[in-house]
Amino acid sequence: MSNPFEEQGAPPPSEQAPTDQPTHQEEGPSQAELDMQRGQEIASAAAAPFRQGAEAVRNVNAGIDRGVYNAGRELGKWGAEKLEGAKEKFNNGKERVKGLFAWGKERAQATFASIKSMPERVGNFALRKLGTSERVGKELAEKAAVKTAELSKATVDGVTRFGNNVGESYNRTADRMGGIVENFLVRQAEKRLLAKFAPELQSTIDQIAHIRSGEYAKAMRANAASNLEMAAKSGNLALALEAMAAWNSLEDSLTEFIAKTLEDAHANFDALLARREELRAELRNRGKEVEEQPTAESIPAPEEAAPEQPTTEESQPIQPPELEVPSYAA
Amino acid sequence: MTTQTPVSQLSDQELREQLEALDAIVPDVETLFDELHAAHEDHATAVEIASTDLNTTLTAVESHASAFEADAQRQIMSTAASE
Repeated sequence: MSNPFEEQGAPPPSEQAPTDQPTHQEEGPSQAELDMQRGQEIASAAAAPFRQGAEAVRNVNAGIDRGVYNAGRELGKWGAEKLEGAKEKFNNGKERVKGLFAWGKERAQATFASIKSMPERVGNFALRKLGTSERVGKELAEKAAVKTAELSKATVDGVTRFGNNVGESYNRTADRMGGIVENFLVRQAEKRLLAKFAPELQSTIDQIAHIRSGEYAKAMRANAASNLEMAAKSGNLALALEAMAAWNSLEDSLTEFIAKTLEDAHANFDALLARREELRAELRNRGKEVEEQPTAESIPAPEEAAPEQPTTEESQPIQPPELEVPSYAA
Repeated sequence: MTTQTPVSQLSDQELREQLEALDAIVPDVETLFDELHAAHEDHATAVEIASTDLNTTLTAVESHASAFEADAQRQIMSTAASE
C-alpha cells in the first residue's frame, strides 16, 4: 500500500511542524465575532445622535404641552374673570340707563304739574286779595296762563330733545355694535376658526348682529319720532311723555336684548372654555406627552431619559414625531 | 347650534387642532366683549348727558314759573295795599 502523503507530495503527519496555535474555541473570539462586536460598537455610536434627537423632540413636545396647558388654563381663568367683570359693568350701565329714563319721565311730569297749576294759584291769590272785579287780578291770571303755555312748550321741547338725544345715541350704538360684530366676523372668517371650532358662539353672533338690523325697533322708532314731532308743535306734554315712553320701551328692548345676548354669550363662552379643558384632558389621558399635567420638574433631563440601546437591527434613522401643526383650512 | 364631536372620537391631531384653535379664538372673543361693553357704556353716558340737559331745562322752567308767580303775587299785594 502506497503512502498517500508521498503521492500527494505532502509530508507525513509525523513530519509536520507542531503547531502551538490555540483553537478558536479555546483562546478567544473569532475574527468574525470581533468584527461583529466592532460593528455593534459602530452602530451604537451611530445611533447615539438619533437617540439624543428623539429625546430632544420628546422634551420639546413635553414643553409645548406644558406651555399650552398652563397658558390655556390661565387664559381661561382670566377670560372668565374678565367676562364676569364686564357683565357686572354692563348690568350697572343697564340700570343707569333704565333709572335715568324713569327719572326723566317723573321729572318732566312733576315740572309740568307745578307749572300747570300756576295760573290757577295766581288767580285764586288775586281773588282772595282783590276780589273778582279787580282788573289787575284778571290781567295777571291771563298772563300766568300765557306764561304757563310758554313754559309747557319749553318742557315739551326739553323732553323732545331728551328723547331725540337718547334715540340718536341708540342708533349710533346699534350701528357701532353691528360694526364691532362685523369686524369680529371678518377676523374670524380670515382665520376660518369660529364656525369650525366654536359653534357655541354662533347664536351669540347672530343675536348681536340682529341688534344692528333693528327690524324690531323700526316701527317703534318711527312712531316715537312722529309723536315727538307732534308734541313739539303742539306743546302737548302728555304726547311728549308718550313719545318718550316709546323711546323708553325701545331702550328697554335694546337693553334687555343686549343683556340677554351677553348672558347667553357668557354661558356659551363658558361652554367653549369647558370644551377646551375637555380637549386638554382628553389629550392628557390619551397621549403620553400630556397624560399628566407637566411641570418643569416632571420633564426629564435628556440624560435621565430612558436610553434604550437599539440593537443593530433597530439602528435605523429615528424619525422625529410629527409635531402636528394644525391646519385651519375650512 | 352645531353638535360638537365627542372628544373621545377625535384623533390626537384633531384634539390638538381644536385646542389651538380655541386658544386663538378666546382673545378675540374677549376683545369683542370689551368693544361691545365700551359701546354700551358710551350709550349710557350719552343718556346721562341727555338727562342732564333735560334736568337743566326743567329746572329753568320751574324757576321761571316760580319767579313769575312771585312777581304776580307782589303786584297783587301792591295793588291791594294801594287800595
